[in-house]
Amino acid sequence: MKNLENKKAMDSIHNPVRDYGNDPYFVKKANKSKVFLEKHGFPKEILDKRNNNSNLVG
Amino acid sequence: MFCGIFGIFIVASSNVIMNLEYYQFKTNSSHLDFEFDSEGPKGTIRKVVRFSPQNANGITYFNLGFGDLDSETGNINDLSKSNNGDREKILATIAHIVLVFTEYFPDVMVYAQGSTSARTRLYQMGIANNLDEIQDILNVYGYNAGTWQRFAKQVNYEAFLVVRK
Repeated sequence: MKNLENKKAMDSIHNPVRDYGNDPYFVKKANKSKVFLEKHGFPKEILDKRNNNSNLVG
Repeated sequence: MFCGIFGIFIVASSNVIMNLEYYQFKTNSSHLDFEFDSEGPKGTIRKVVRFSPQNANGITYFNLGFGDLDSETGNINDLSKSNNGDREKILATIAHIVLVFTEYFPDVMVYAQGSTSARTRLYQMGIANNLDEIQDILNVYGYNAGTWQRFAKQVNYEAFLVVRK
C-alpha cells in the first residue's frame, strides 16, 4: 500500500501540468476571443469600476 | 488548499461544496494551466483548462479554454463529446478552477465562449448550476442581444465574462 502511495507521489512529480500556452487550439481560442471583444467591447460596469480604481490610485 | 511539491500544485481534493461534487485538479507554477481526470464508463479522460492572457482594445483579460487531451497526439480537442456520464461534475470542476485561478489573479477578467453554440450552452449551464457559490465571489456577465448584462438564469448568452468582486 505504501509502495502504491509512493508511486502516486512519484507520478505527480514526473508528470507536472504542461504549459499549454503554445497549443494551437488554445492559441486559436484566445485569438477568437480577441476578435469578439474588439468588436463588442467589455461590460461598462467593469470598465467604470476599473477606471474608478485607477483614479483612486492615481 | 495549495500544496507545492516540486512545482506541482494539487489544488483541490475530491470535494462536495453546495452539494456539487467536483474532481481533484492540479496546476503548474504559472497557474495558467489546470488538469483533471474525468472518470466514467468510457474510462479516464484527461481534461485541460488553460487561461490564455490576451488583450483587446488595450484591455488585458484571460481567455478560458477547455478541452480533452488526446493521449496519443498530445493535442487538445474540445469538439469531442466524451459522454462519460459526469457532465455536472466536470462543469462544477471548471467553476471551481475559475474560483482558484481568480484567487491567484484577483484583478483579472476571465472570458469564456464555447467552440460551438452547444458548448456555450454547456458553459451557461455550468454557471447557472453553480451560480449561488460563484456569485458570492465573482460578478458574472453574459453577452446577449448586443449588450453585456449581469448573468441571469434562463437567458441564452453568446459569451461570458467574470471578474472578482
